[in-house]
Amino acid sequence: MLGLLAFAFLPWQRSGRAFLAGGDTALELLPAAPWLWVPLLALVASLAAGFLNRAVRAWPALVVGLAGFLVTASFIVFRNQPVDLGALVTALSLLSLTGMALSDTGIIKADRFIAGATLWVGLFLILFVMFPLVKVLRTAFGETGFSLEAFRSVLGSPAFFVLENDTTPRSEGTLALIWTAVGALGGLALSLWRRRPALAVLRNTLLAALGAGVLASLLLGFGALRNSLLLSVSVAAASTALAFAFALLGARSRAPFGPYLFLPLALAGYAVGSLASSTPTTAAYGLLFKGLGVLLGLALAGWLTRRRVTAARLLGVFSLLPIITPPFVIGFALIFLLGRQGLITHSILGLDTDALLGPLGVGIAQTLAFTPIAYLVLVGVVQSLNGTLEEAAVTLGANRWHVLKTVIWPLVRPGLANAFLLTVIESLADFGNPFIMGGSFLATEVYFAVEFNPNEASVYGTVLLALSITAFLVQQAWVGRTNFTTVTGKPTQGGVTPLPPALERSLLVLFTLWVLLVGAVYGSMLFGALVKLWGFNNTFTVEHLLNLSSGSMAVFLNTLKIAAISSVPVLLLSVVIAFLITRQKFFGRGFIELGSLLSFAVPGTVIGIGYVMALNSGFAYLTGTMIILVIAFVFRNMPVGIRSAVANLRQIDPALEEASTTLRASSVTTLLRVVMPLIRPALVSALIFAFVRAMTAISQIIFLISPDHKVVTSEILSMVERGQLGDAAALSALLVFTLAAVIALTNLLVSRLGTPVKVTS
Amino acid sequence: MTTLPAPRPTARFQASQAAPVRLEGITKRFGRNTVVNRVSLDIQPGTLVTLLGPSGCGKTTILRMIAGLETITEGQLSIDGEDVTQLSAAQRDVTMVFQSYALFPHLSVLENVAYGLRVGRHPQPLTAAEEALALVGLGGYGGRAPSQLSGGQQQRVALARALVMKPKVLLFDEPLSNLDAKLRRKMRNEIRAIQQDLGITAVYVTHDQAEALAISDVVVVMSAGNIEQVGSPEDLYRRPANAFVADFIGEANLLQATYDGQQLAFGSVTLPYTQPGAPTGNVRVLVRPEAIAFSHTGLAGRVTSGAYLGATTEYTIDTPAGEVLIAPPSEATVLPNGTDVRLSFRSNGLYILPA
Repeated sequence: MLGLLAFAFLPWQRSGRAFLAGGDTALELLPAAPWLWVPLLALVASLAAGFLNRAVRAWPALVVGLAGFLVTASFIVFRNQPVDLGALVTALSLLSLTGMALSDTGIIKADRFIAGATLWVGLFLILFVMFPLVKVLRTAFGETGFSLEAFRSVLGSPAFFVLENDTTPRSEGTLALIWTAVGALGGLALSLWRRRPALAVLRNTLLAALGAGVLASLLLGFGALRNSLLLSVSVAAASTALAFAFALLGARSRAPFGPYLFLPLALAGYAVGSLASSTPTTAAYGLLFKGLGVLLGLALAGWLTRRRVTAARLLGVFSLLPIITPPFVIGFALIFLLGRQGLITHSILGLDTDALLGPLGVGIAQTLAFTPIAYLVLVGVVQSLNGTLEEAAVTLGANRWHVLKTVIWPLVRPGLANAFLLTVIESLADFGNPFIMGGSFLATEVYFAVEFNPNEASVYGTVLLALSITAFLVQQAWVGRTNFTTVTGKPTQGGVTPLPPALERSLLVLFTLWVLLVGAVYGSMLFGALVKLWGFNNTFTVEHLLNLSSGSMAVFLNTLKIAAISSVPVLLLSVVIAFLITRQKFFGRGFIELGSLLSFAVPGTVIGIGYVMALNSGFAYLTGTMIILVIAFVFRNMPVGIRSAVANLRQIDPALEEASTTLRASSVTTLLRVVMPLIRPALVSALIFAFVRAMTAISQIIFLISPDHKVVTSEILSMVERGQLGDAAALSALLVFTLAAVIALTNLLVSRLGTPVKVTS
Repeated sequence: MTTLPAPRPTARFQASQAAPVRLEGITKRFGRNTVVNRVSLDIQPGTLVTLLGPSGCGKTTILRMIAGLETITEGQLSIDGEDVTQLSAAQRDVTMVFQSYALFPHLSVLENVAYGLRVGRHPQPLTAAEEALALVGLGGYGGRAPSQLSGGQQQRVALARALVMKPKVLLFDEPLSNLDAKLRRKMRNEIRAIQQDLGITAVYVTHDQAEALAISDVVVVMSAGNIEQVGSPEDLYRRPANAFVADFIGEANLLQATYDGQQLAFGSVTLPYTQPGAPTGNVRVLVRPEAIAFSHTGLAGRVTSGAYLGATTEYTIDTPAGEVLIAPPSEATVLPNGTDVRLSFRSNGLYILPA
């Protein structure tokens, strides 16, 4: 008991001295700031209270701790000087004291660790998630008093949204009205024809009118809002459809995929050969190179066929790619393919245009980038379909098309909605692709406005936030309501109904095209790094690789360091929060759950300007430091960590932890000795995932970098901006290959650790 | 199924002193839902008390409140004379054998048993764990992973892990429900033997009435959060407090009869019967199936169904006093439905339910 208390009280004692490290210590400030006596006395008192009986000191300790913490916090806030470590440690230890006292008094019915951890997590969420968001909203609604001025000026501006374009001969407004009327009539006619009740007729008519009106405004209108919405909806539709097709293939197709690859690989070989032979010195060998390329491609396809590699195997690899690739790198590689000198536009089609870039290019890039994300959602859904359901349908006389229509489709519909809305959120939040390709989108408008008009930036941010959160809430409500997926944890019994052969063949052809496109994207990135200037001078050179060492290599290493540092707190916080959410009942659980989930839906750009606005002055002056980058990464990547930890914890029988508790273990001991070892493989993956995401993040980080602390993604972006495409390609390739190596190593490590032990008993 | 060596209690293994447990007006509410309603119970030291009832009757909740895994909404719980109502599970001298065994899959069998000892900084955790394993007949199995053991063996490990802490009270939450019928019978005898050898206080939760009767000193029958009856297994079977208990324990025929203090009359059939303190007039009589036999005189009835069960044949018979289930030893043929029969009762198999 005494040992435990000594352990608990030591840090508080030290906190007084930790002031000595920074500028002015608290002791030196004392004469000028009488309020500082309160935390000092609180610390001394709690130290003395350590000798008292637990029951006796509980209430006084609560009062002392809470008062001490509140005074310290207000002192920090009102003094408005950047805080040093001393103040931080003082505040946090007083908070811990409060938590322990809350547990001792029985106000929080949990042990001291849980009570303290809850308060800490709550404080962090308030400081680094809520506070920046509130700051954005406050800036948008006027910093002094409530005003809609900024809103009115931005929302009224044609850059935001305009339907009526004076430069076109037609009247968009009238057209949209006509569309609305047509929609209303259509809805009315359909529901009347179906003989629906009056209320349903009215509702359907209104909905159809609304839908048609919105659709018309999206198609005919102009401005960032329209662009972002149209983009996200079309990208989400395309990605979800493609992902569903691939998910069916991944879960159901057992046919070898090799035969489909003969043509693509031969084409790829030809392309590689022709690129190689375009180097002037080797021009004479052009035919030889092309021939060799084609032969190699055919040989590879033949080998894949012999090995009977299925589409599922390849899909596994392809679903990994977006995780290790910043989305904008795909957009940037598309320049090599679709730009004025692009492989497809110029070399193959012979066009001299960059019309394929711009908004259309953004759409293509995002579809390429986000389809795998949607795939990861949908493949789980398709795989978890219970085979026996389909067998039941088959025994009842349904043919395969019937099964697809009447069993599979209704079961996967919630999954599709989930994937769609996730992609909408991702697309809305994507900053890099619009930035590279051009076009006016909400995410980029935030960036362009932030320097000279923070109010405008906040308004754009608020709109973006509102859209994302709406999509997120719809997703939560919908998916939460109708989730039919039959996850039982048991291995699926019953065979898998094979796809109808015709469907399987056409899906495989579709996937072939996809493989070709993705291959071209990554291939062009590699070649862009290896030739002088893509399209103009295809001479091989190591110039760009050498350029790496002169500057960007330092940035790369710096990013590795920041990402590595930030992934550790992500891991710890995720596990603790997940443990709190899934296993503990306490006051404020809803807040923590919401707070941590919400930051999932907040676009990075919004978090970015939030941090810039909130942590730029006063007590929380952090901009320009490395810490702000680390904090941004931690709170950005935490939701993913929490999700994976929660998913793992849900699979562990709570009786295991109860067993540990009845054997006298405290919740810390249980966490360390039972929970952590059981979810170790998941922890390793979460750690690596946090690291990888930190390496590839751009949207929140672009606002926070400083000359001393640059990150690799912003470096690539500015290289693209300056036209150093070769250097950018080289750096991207370095990034992608490093991350691929890291992931491969992790997978090896995790499989060494052994597949997760079977935890249910 | 592997055959298990018989448990070898060792003289060196001593349980801590058996402690009495006292529940006073214990209530548990989840929101507005009352799961356990003012339950009071005195558990004598060294006895095995079973909480028996259908699922959802609150028996597991009581067990978890004794363990400290659920907070007590109202009432007082004392163990060994000490009020532990406010103590957390980790602070109570109570261990539990879980329905799912809850063996830590990442630890070996020996480390599982030693876990609590290590947490409590026991000087020789492994030696003590070895002894506990030997006690449950698993000496030498310490190096294995829990998943390498059979269900019965896993159950023994869970028991050893709970015993090794020398708890004041040992709790069992439906420990045998994951085992097959034969193993269940064997394990319940072993649990009873170990409990009696060590003289430990144990609280046992089950919904299997046969298990409860076989293993317990005292059985507490519960329904819907309330105690229906507390008594010895024989009390419950022979002298149930009400129709619920009568029906829940064993097979019960509840017949309408009239009683005047000397005679019990089922319609026109009468037999001499005295039961001190029983109500008179129209009464409900519990007749266990084994107390009824076919005869030439007695209560008339008609067979409505017959099921051949091997050693016995189960008949339902429609009589003026109500439907009767009987299970006489099987004859060469099963009586066809509609057969007219007469039934006689053994008077020591009858019990008039309290009004």
